[in-house]
Amino acid sequence: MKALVLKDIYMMLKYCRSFFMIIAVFTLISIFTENNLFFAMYPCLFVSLIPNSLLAYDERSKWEIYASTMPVTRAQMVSAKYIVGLMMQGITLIVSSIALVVRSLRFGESVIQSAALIGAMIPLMLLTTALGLPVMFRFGVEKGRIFYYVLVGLLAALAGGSSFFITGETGEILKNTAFAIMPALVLLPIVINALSWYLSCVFYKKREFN
Amino acid sequence: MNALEINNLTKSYKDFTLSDLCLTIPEGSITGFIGENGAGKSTTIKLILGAIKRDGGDISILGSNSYDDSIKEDIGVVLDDVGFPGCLTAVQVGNIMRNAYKNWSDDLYTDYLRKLGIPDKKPFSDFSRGTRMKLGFAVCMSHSPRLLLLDEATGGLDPVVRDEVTTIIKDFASDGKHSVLISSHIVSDLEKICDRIAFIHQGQLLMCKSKEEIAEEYSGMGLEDLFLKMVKGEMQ
Repeated sequence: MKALVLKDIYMMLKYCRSFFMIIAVFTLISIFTENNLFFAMYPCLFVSLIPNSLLAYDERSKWEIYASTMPVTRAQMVSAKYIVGLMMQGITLIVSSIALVVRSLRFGESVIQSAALIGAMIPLMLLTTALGLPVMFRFGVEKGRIFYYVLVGLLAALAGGSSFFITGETGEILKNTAFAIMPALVLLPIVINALSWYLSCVFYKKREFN
Repeated sequence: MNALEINNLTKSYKDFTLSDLCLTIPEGSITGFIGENGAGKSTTIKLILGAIKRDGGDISILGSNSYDDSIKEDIGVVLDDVGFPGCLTAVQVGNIMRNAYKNWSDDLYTDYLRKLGIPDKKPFSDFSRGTRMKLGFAVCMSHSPRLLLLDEATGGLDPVVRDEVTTIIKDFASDGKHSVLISSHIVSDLEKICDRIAFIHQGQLLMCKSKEEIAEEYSGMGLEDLFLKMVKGEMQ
């Protein structure tokens, strides 16, 4: 599997530069944007598109057929995508978290509120991958792409819209209970991600590469 | 032990059926798999590799069940499209394969890159078809396989590259322990290097014999003429 992850890293460094640029620019803008959290939260969802992009390039080059000549299992081919996805989500989360803290200090906002936002981003990130990848592995990138864009749009709207709820009275309540419910909010998407990983392996094992 | 044993292999599509294919590749042989476009050559190779699922039949590779992915350590494959992502360079492909194959040899790989004149830092998408094929060969030979599966590996190559590739294949099988299955619709290539020939037409195996048997039975008729006559039903 190390071989597959390494292949994906090489491809990411070449094909996903625009992703990195957008994430960097959005993160930078978020530091200077006072009343809008969209620029802070979108990179965390956007980065979840990287495994899909890599899958698309795999299909275009017919890598999937070549990989079936190698001593790797379908499960390993799936796992490589999840691992790369988690890796990039982790890096983006760290970068976004630093940006949010800087932003909070800049605008005199509560760092605890920023921490709550960071906590809220984790399940959204994990859910984006968890819900989208099995579809890609089952139907291929062409057919799965439409479903995925709708999903990311909905999650982005939810993420952006949630900023209106975490201010004022609701924001206060959430601030006080955030740390209590955060473990559950993080655990549930992890469980869903694990289930997604399993489903992707089952679906991909049945795929035929003509 | 036979390098490859295929028994009653069947695969059905809407407009094509590979039916009850039985094919044996003895150890140490170079077997040519000849058929027209759409005859079922690539389908057979994809079924051997597990890229597509068989509807019936058995496949045994080097004495092992073909469902075992670990057997692929001992198989070298070159596909018509090769299959490497366009951004990868030969160096990066080598780094990937080093982590994929237990028997990978960097020295062998570097040697093949040099012998075949493959640039090590140019992206795969910038290679000509011939260079892509040569990289495919360099990779497949560098992990000491015991069986080579070559799917239309010489198609579209210029005579110089084709000669280089056929030399590699002949050298590979020269020790009697390594085996090759090479599919092609270019009969002249196979006539030069193969010691066994199998004909496939519309998903059915017409014949699988050694070159000596063919020469004896069909009075020295050229393979291309023989194939055409069999396809037209003028000969069995």
